[in-house]
Amino acid sequence: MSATLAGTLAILLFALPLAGCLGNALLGERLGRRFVNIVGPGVVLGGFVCAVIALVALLGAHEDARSTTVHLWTWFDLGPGALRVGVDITLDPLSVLMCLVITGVGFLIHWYAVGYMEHDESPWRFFSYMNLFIFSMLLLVLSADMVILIIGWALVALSSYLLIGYYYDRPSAVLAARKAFVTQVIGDVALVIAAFMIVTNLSVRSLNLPTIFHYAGASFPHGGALVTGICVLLAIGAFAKSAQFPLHTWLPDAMEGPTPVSALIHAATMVTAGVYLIARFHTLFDLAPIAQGLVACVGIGTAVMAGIIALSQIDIKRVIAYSTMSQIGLMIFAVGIGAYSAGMFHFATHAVFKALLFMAAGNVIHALHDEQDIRLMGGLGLTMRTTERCFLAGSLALAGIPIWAGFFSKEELLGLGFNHGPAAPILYFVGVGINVLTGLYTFRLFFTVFRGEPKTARTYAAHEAPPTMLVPVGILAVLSTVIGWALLFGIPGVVGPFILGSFLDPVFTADGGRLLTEPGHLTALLTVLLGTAGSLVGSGLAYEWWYQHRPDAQVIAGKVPRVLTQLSLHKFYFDEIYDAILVRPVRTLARRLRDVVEPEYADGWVEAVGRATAWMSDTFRVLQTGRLRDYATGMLVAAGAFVVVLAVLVR
Amino acid sequence: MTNIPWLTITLVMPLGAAILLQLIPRNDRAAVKALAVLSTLATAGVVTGLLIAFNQHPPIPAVGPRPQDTALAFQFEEIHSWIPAIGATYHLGLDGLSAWLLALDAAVFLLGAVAISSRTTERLKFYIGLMLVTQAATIGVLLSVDMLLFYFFWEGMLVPLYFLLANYGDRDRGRATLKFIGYTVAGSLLMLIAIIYLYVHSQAAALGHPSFDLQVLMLAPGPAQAPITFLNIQLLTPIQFAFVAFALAFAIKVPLVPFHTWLPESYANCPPATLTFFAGIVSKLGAFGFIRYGLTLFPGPVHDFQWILEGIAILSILYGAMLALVQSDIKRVVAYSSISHLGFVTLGIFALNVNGINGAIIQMVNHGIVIAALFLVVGYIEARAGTRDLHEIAGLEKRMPWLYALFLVITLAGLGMPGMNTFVGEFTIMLGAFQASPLLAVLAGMGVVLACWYMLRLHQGLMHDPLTPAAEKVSDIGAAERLVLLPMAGLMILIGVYPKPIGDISKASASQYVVRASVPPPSLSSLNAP
Amino acid sequence: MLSIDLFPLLLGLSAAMFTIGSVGVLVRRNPLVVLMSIELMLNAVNLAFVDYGRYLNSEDGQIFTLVVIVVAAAEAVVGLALVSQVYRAGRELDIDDLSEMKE
Repeated sequence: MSATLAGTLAILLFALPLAGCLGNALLGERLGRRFVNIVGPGVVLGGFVCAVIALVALLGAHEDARSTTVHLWTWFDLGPGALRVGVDITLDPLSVLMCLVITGVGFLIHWYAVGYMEHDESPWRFFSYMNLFIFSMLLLVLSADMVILIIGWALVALSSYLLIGYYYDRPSAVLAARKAFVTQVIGDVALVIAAFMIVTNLSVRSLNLPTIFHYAGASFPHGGALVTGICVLLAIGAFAKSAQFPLHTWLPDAMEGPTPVSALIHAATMVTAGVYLIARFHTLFDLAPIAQGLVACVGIGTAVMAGIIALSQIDIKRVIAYSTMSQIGLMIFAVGIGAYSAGMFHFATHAVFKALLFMAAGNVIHALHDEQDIRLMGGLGLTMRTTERCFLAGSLALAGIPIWAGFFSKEELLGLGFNHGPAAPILYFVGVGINVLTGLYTFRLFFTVFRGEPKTARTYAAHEAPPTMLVPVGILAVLSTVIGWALLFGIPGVVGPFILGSFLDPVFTADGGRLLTEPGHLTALLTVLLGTAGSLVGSGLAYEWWYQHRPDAQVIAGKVPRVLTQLSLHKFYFDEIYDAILVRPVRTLARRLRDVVEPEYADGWVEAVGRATAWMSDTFRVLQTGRLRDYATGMLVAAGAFVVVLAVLVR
Repeated sequence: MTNIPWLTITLVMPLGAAILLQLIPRNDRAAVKALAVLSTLATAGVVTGLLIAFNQHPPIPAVGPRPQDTALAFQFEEIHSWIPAIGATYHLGLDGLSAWLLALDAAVFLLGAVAISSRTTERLKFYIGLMLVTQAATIGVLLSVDMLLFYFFWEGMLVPLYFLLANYGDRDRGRATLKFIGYTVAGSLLMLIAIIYLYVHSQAAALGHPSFDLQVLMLAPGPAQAPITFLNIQLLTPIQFAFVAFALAFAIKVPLVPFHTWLPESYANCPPATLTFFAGIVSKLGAFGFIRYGLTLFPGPVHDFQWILEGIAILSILYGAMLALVQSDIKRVVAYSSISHLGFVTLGIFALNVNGINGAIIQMVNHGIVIAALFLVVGYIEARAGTRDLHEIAGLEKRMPWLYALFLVITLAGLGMPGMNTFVGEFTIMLGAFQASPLLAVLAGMGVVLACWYMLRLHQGLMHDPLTPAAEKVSDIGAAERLVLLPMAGLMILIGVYPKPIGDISKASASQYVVRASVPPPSLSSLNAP
Repeated sequence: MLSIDLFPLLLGLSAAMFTIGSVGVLVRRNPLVVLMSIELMLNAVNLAFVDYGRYLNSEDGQIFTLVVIVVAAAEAVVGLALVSQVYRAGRELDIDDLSEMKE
C-alpha cells in the first residue's frame, strides 16, 4: 500500500469519529435527535468503509509487503539524548483486522443504539462518548509509537469511564465508573513503566514500535530478566484492560452502563485491547518465555474462574460479562502460548457473537422495562421470537457448537494449546473443562430467559423490539453462524481457505518470529473431538437441568461442595479482599495523616515557633511601661554602657 | 528593533498600569477592571512576541577550554550598572526556562484580572494595584540574572502579596497570611545570607571585581573549603550550607513536604481570583529557583543531596495525594493536589537529566494552568452552593452542564490523563526519574494512581449522584465565566495534542542546566589535605 | 588669630549641652520642654561633629551636621504636630500621663 493512501486512510479513520464526537457534543443538542442519530452511526460507517478500502489494498499487495508505517507529524522532540515522539501509524493485517471489527461491529452497535436510546433525554451526550470511544480505539490500534498508543489506551479507558457513568444519578454507576477508571490507570502506569524500560535499555530515543521490534532481538537476550520484566509490565497493562485476574473486578460493575456500551466496549472491542497489545508486542513476548507462561496461566485461570462465577449470577448482563471475561481469558491464553493468529481469530468471532448476545439481552431488558434479574424472566421466547432465535445463534456460537463461529476459533486455539505453552497438555484439558462450563452457563441463561413459564405479568406484556434494534442483531446472528467456517474453509470463488491465518501470520513472523507448529492430523482431530464433546456435554447438562428441570438445579447445587458455590456466588470475594487489603488501608492511612501527622507534626513545629514568639513578647512586655521617661533612661544608660565598653575594648 | 529593551518593557508595564490606575476614581469600578484587563493583556501580547522571536537554538557562550565551561544562553539581554560600588547590576535575560514561565505569568495574571468580579469585590482599586505590583515582581524574579536584583524582586513580591492575602478572603485569612509571610521570609533571609557568602567568596571578589551576576558567580566560585566542625563532628562544607539555605527558601515557596503547611491554609482562605496567580505562578517560582540557582551555583551539593531531594519530592507526591484523598473541603483537595503535583516537578528537576528537567519546565507551566482553572471552578461552585463541603454538594451535572463539561476537561488534566497537557510533563518527568533510578518512577506511578482517585472523587462527588439540598438552587456558569474557563480548557487539550512547541523552547535551556549541574564536584579528600 | 586650642573647649561645651538636654528629657513632664531638650541634645552632637571635623581637617563633620539639622527639623515637625493633636484632644500635656503605647 502506498504511504499516501495509508496516511489518508488513517487520517480519515481518526477524523471521522472525532468529528462525530465533537459534532454531537457541540451541535447535537441544538440540531436535535435526528442529527445525532444520523451522525453518530454515520461516521462509524464511514470508518468501516475506510477499513474495507485498507483491507482491499492490503489483499492486493504481496504477502510480505503488507505493513506500511507512515510518519504523520512529530508530536514531541526534546533534542539529542532525550525523548522523541512521532505520530506514526501502521497499517498492517493486524491493525486492519482490528479496525474492521471496531468499525464494523461498532457501526452495528451504533445503529442498534439509535433504537435503544430512543427515549433517552440526551442522546447527543451518548453518541459523542461512543464516537470518542471509536476514535480512541482506532488511535490505539493504528499507532506505531508507544506513547501515542498509550494515549489511545488511556482515552479508551476515559470513554469507558464516561459511558459506565452515563446514568450519573445512579450512585452504583458512579462508583463503577470510578473503579473501572482507577483500575485502568494502574494498567496505564504499568505500561508507562514498561515503555521507560524499553526506551532506557534499548538505547533508542523514541518509542517507535517498528524500531523497538527491530532492535529488540539484538539487544535483549532470549529469556533475559529485563525483557521478562518488560513483558510482565506489558501484561499487567493488558490484564487491566482485558479484565484478567487480578485486575478484573471492574468489568462486571461496568455493566451499569447502557447495554450498547456493554456490547461495544465491554465485550467486542475495548476489553480485547489487551489481546491486541500482546499480539502487537509479540516480538518481545517471544523473547520472554517466562512472561508468556505467566500470561497463558493467567488467561486460562481467569477463564475458569469467570466461568464458575457466571454459573451463579442472576443479572442477565453480568452473566454475559463473566462469559466475556472467560472468553478473553482464552484469547489471552492463546497469545500467551504464541498462537497469535488463533487468538486474533477468536477475538474476531467473539466480537461478533458477544455483541450479538449483549444486544439481544438489551432487547429483553428494553422489553421488560429495565428488568435485568433472570429469575423474573422466562418464557420470553413466546413473545420475542426473533430476539430468541438471534440469542440462540449467539449462544450456540459462544458454547462452541460445531458450525457456529465460536467452535472454529475456540477449537483452533485449544488445539494449539495441546502441544504448546506451559505444562502442555495440562492447560488443554483445563480448556476442555472451560468448554463444559461455557455450555452450562450459556444455556442456563438461554433456557431461563426464553423458555419455561413466564414469571411476572411484565413478561406477558413484553413486545418484540423495533426494527432498528432487530436488524443489527439479525445481521450479527447471520454472521455468527457463517463467519467461522467462511474464514476457515473459505468461500469458493471469493476467498481461499485459512484466509485469516495466512493474512495475519506474516505480521507475527516479521522480526524473527516463528509460528507454532500445527499439531498432526490425528492429534488435531482428537483435540477437536474432545473439545467439542466438552461443549456438548455442558450444553446437554444445561438442557437437562434448566429446560427439562431433571433433576432440580437446586439439588445439583446442593451436591457441589459448598465452598465452590459460595465462591461462585460471591465472585471469589475479590471485591471484599481488595477493599480490605488496598482501599481501606490507604484510606485509614490517609485519615491518620490528616488527623494526626498533619496538625501535630508537619504543622506542629510551625505553630510552636509562633507560640514561642508570642511567649517571648509576653515576657518582655513588662519592660514596655509606656512612660517616655523610662525609655529615655534606658537609652541613656545603654549608651553610657556602650561608651564604657568601647573605651575598654579600644584600650 | 534589537535595541528596544523588551524585557524592561515587560517588567515596567504592570507598574506603569498601577500608576495609571491612580488617575481613575475609586468608584469607577468598570474602568478599574478594564485597566487591569488591558494591562495584563498588553503584557501577554509582549510576552507572546518574545516567545515568537525566541531563538530555539541560541549560541551558547563558551568561557573556558572544557566543554562544560559554558555560561547560560540568555536572550534579549540587558545589562546596566545599578549599584557599581558593590558590583550589582541591572541584568535581565530570558532563556528557555524563564520563557515559558513568563508566558504562564502573563496568562495567569490575565486570568486573574478577568476573573475578578468588579461588582462584589470591596476596595477593587486597591486590589488591582496590588495585583499589578505582584505581577511586576514575579516578572522581575523570572527575568533577573543579577542575584541581588533577583533577591530584591523575590522579597518585593511578598509586600503586595501580604496586603492581598491579609485584606481579601475568608475569615481565617489573617492567621494564614501571617504563617505564609513568616515562613517565606524565614527562608528568604537564609538565602540572603547564602547569597552574601557566595558573593564574598567568589573569585571575582578576590580579584577586586565583586559581582552579584549569576553568570559570574556560577563560573567563578570561591575556592572549596573544608567542612565546618563542631565539637569535633564534621558538619557540612560552607558551600553545602549555602545550598541548604537556598534549598530551604525554595522548598518553602514550592512548597515541599514538610514545609508545606502554610499552603492549605492560605489557599483555603484566599479568593479564587487571587489564587489564579498565587497558586498559578508564585509557587512555581520556588521550582524555578531550584533550576536557575540550585543547579547552576551548587553542582557539588546538588549531587551530594540528590537522593534526599528526590526522596522529599516523592514524599510530597505521596503525602499530598493521600491528604487530598480525605479532605472534605473542596478547596483543600485542590490545595493538597497542588503539593503532590509540585512534587512531580521537583522530582523531574533532581533527576538531573535532560528528560527530567524538560519535563519539570513543561509541567510547571501545565500545572500553573490547571491549578488556576481548578481553583476557579471550585470558587464558582462555592459561590453558588454557599458551601465548600464535598459532602453537602452532589449531582451538579444536571444543574450545570457547561461547568460539568469544562470541569471534566480540567479534572482529566489534573489527573494526568494521556492526551492532556499534564501527561506530557508527567511522562517526561517519570522517564527522567526512571533513568535516575527506576524505583523513583514506580513510586511516582503510585502517585499517579492516587491522583486519579482523588481527582475523580472530587469531580464525581460534586457532579454526580442524586442532587443534594445545597445543590438544588445552583445555576450554571454564565457567559463571562465560560469565557474564562473555555480558553484554559482549550489550552490544556491543545498542549496535550501538540506539545512540540513547548518542548522546542524548553529544550534550548534544559540541556544547559544539565551540563551546569554535572560539573564534577570537588573531591572531599583534596579538601582535607593540609 | 587666637592661638588657644578650641578643640577641647568646644568638646566640653558639647558635653555640657548634651547633659543638660538629657536631664531635661528625663525630668520635665511638659512635652514641649522635652522636645526643646531633645533639640538641645541634637545641637550638642552637631557641635561635636563640627569640632571634630575642624580637628581632623575634614568636611564630613559639617556634612553630617547638615543631615542632622534636616532630621531635627523633621523630628520637630512631627513632635509638635503630635503635641498639638494631643492638646486639641483636650488632654493634659503631661508625658507620664500619655502612656497608651504600653498596650
